Amino acid sequence: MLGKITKGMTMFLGNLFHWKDEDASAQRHHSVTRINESVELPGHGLVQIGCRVECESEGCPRPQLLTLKALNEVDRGVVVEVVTDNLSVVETMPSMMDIYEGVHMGTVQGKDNWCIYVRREI
Amino acid sequence: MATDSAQVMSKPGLLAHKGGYKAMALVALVTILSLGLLANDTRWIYLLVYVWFGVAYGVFLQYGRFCMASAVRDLFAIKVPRMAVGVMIATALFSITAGLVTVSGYSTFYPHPLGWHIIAGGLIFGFGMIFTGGCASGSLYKTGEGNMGSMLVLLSISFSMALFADLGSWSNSFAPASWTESALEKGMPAELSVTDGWFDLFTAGYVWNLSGGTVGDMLGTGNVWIDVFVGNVFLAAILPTMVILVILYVTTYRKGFIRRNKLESLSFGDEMRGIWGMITSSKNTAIAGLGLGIFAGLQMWATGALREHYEIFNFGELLMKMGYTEGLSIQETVFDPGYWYITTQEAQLGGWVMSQFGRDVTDNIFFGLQNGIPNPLINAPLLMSVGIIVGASILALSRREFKWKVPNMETAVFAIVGGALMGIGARLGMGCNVGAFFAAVTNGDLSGWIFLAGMLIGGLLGVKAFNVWLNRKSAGDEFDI
Repeated sequence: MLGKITKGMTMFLGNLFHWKDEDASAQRHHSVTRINESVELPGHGLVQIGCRVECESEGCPRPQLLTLKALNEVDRGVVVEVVTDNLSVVETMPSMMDIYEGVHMGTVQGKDNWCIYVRREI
Repeated sequence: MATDSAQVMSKPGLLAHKGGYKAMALVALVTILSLGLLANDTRWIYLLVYVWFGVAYGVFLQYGRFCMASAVRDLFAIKVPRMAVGVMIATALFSITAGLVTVSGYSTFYPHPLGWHIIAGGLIFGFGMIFTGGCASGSLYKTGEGNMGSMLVLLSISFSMALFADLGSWSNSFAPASWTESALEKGMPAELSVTDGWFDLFTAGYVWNLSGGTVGDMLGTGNVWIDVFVGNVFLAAILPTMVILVILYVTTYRKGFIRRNKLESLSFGDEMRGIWGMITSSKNTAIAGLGLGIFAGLQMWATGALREHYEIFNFGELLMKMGYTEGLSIQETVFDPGYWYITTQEAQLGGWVMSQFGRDVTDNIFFGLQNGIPNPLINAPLLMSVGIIVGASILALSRREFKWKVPNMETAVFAIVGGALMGIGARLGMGCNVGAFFAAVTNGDLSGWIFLAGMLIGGLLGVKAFNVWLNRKSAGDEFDI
């Protein structure tokens, strides 16, 4: 825990004084990329993932907006994986799919993050 | 259906991971400290009621992720009403328990004076909380989840409120002359220097001339059950929440409901099913709201009963009897609402820290006359806030949801600036999303809805401003699809 706090403080000070910590900046970077991977999703079996939204350390509503952007870009039926460590995003995503044209297929909790799987429907 | 599988969240047993042990250790620590205090003097039970209710609030807040900032932000930014629906349901449920407490005669609630300051305070508070990502209560439970950005928000709220309440003579020119005249007429003790400082002039020269009341008071039928349950509960809380739920359904949820169910025209039954579907999608928040409502009512009842038992009107009197005189107001009182409240005790913390650095913050109405600046270790409402953090930590640890999160530069700046705006808004509006909205409307005080209106306007403006910032920031984002 102390190590994580120290690393976090280093990142914060790095941002403050514009130090370039490659590891830290990589951790802060969010991206939306096309992928072709498969994942075992309980209740669905092996699922093909077509797009990954990586937004760890990002606050709301950026992950939700990026997910909507990704769903708009991919074809119907494509599964999008959203990687986040923000619990609010985990809680909001199923409700967001109720409103928008997608399906929430499941959420898998990892050690330090969650992977949310949503599929474009229309 | 838009959710075609249950969430695949791994939920191991409490003792199957380290977090479970840490959660149990936290419970044991608070229990041992409580027993130690009681062994010292049984009258600390008054303070411990605040602490343990705080722990319960923290558990419920974390469970339902109950946050007004999320409610407003999700609604305006991504048009998802989930949290807003949950907050409305919680409001309706809390009003019932608050009604029962009022009828039993143990209510400690006082209605707020009505004036422009409520909507202005709500607006500034709402604008600020969009940037911090958490309301007053949300920032507490998120701190309990290890979010250090939320901790920064709390510190910023605390010091901005203390500084705002203790504005110096340079701010007098911003107050109209009528406030100065009116403040002088109040005949306050000279040591408060009520004509020196904008917030003192605002309080004594403006707020004290206003009046407020509950809908039950307005009905005034003479039958306390009718006044409370028809006036305070139904007319002031349940009816407005029902109207808001219908508006949320029509404006956000209905379109998706029609699409998912492939309906062409909706019968009354379909509409009811749609509304029910919207409500059940906010199940966790609603359950949290029910728990918060029950415990908030119980706290009012418990504090009222203890006041009767110790024959006191305020915790300050009990502290005096126990030999603690430092930090009391000149009325020998301290802030002691007797119910769920967030911001005033945080201002006291800011004021107390400032006083430790030699600044005299007691020459104003807020600290000097009304709330005092007791040592944080014996500040009961402040320990309730600590209890909220601990309660949220306990649940987050036991559910493997605790994670130390250090803010990056952007988040830290938003936390400090947004938190300062929230603090100023809270003092101007006489409370935050809990004290000025939640506790107010559930006790029949319509000023809470005015605060909410201000908070929504501020939230909408905040979301617009935040989107402009996001668009500027994401201009260079990788979007490789």
